[in-house]
Amino acid sequence: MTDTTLAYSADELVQLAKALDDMAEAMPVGTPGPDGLTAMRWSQSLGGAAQNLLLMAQRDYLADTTEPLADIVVTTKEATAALAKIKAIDKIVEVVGDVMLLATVIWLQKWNLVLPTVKELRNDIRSV
Amino acid sequence: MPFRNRLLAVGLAAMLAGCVNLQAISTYAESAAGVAGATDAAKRWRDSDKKLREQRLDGDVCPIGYTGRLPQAQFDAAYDDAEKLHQAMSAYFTALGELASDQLPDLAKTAAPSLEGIKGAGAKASPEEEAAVQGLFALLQRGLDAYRHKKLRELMTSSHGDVARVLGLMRKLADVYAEGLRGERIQAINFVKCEIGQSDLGDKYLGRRELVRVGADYDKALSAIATYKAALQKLADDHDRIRGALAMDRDAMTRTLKAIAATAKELDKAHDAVAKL
Repeated sequence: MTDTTLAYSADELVQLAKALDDMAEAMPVGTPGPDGLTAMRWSQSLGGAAQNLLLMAQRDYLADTTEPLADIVVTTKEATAALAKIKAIDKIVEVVGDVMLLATVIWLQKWNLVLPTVKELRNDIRSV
Repeated sequence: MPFRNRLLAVGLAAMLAGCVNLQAISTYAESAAGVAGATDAAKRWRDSDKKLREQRLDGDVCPIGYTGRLPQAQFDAAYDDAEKLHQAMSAYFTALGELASDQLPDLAKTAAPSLEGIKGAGAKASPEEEAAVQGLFALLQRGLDAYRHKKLRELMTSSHGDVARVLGLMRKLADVYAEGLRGERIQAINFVKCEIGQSDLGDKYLGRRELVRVGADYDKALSAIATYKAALQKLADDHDRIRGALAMDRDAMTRTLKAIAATAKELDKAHDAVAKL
């Protein structure tokens, strides 16, 4: 992994999309009042991000691209596992916000932003 | 016609009369073309956001649908690319089926008028001679069968690597569509959960029932994609088996082709399941 390019595979994009969908599933959308609605809106964003990664994967499969995205998949999975331990909605939003940013820089292929974003996400997970 | 030649012709025809009927491959290829050409899973994935938004009714409090999703046009374009891949694969299996089918002219049937012509010219044709002429034409027919058999084997051997690779790619794409649908399921269920959270107590009972209903609908669709993916694997395996069978002796080939023809029904079932998405 370098500053400007990132090696990844379409398989890993699918795994990452899975991790985002799992995260959407873990959102406390059933909470009464505004917190539930906030969680629902984040769930929609995570779902949208997952679909974008699937689109990227589909294109890459068709273009026969094969490179690794393992680090990010692992980090996102860790983030999803951490979600289960978080109770406060504002802390959830912080972590999910980082994940969303990460997914966005990936599909925009802004590779130089990936590493700092992963670092930020790791810090947030650790602080939970 | 000297008796020796007549005997040779009839003898050769008899030897080749048991030539393998490639119709089994033709039947199989038709089902294979159907399942390889099925774009229903890709279509379902393309329309995911639309399907999700259709679930919202007037008066619902919670939002539904993906946010930040790339423009629909990009999903449409991705579908178009995938469709080309499916069309190519379907066309390949159709070609295979046509090559194996009995579409070539039946020379044995054209034998009768020629023989009638001889009779009309006043020449005498004995039953033995008639049988010999029929035998010769049958021999020509067998020659065409052998040609078809050889061409089929050549086509399948030369395409085998590509077919395996493209079918492998299609299975990976099926994973993308399956995950797309699973993600959609999560969104649809989250929506119902959100509505339950925002509603009064009376609605919660109905909400729980709705949760079960929505989940079951998606599970059915996900199972159809899984069946479709398994059919693609079967297709790759069968292609290899047919290719192998074409190099076998007659009995072994007949047995293998019969076994393969039986799996055509499974492919049809997978095609039907995915078409209901």
